[in-house]
Amino acid sequence: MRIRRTFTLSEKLLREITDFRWRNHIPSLSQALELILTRALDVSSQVTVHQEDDAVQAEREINNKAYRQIKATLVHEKQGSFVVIANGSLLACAGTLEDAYSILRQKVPTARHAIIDRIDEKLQAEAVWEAIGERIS
Amino acid sequence: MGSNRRENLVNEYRWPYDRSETPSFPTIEVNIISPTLNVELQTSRTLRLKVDTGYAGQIMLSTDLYNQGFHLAELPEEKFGMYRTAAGPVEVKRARAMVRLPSLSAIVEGIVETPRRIHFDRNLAGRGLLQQFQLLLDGPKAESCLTLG
Repeated sequence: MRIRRTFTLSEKLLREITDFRWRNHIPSLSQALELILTRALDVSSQVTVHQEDDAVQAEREINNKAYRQIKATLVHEKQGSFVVIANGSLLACAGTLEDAYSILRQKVPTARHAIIDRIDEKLQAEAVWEAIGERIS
Repeated sequence: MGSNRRENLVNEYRWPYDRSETPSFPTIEVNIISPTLNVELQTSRTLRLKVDTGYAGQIMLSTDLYNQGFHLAELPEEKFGMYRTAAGPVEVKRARAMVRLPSLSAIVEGIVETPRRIHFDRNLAGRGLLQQFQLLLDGPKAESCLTLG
């Protein structure tokens, strides 16, 4: 049995679903939407959502805001060192990761989140995880 | 625990495959040091990592393990990563850890990751870590042999 309901979608999402429909030669928009939702539900059923600790999230937000504010200065002055940020402020620039850990223990023993960043380090932002049907929960 | 042998001035570390899956799964063992504030630096956890050559990063930790201190050495959010998988994109948070192999005195800095919004229950060694060593997968013996050249 099929049921008719009315939903509101963003223009962008509707355009993407329409593109998907034509690209895959699907007879109707409803069938295209049904196929997309079925696939999404298949994936969702294998995944357990992880909800982070509120305190960690709050401190992460504060520390990242501080990082963005001082980043330009750090890039010029602190190349190669480990920048330690906690409680929304720059605690120190350490020579080694071990020193950075020590500074955290001494100065902010109750912190729930901190940033340790090597300013000049470039990391790969995006990559393919090759596994087919990777079980992620 | 892996055995430690010295042959022709080359250090070899051998670990049996994980037989909880069929076929059995190659593993390596590492010590990972997190900045957990209430323990000494010398305290580290020995972890058995499944070898996953399809994973481009260094070490993927389970959600529970990452939550035991790695929020305190996190990279800024702009350096978090994204993996495209068959099940869709997986965003990961990243932290800085000290990693060493058992019986090796030197400690190397590494990046550990875990999915940000999905609960993950495994610990993996990816290509980013494996490229630093020679790793022999001895299928018939079901042993991983890691060599420090």
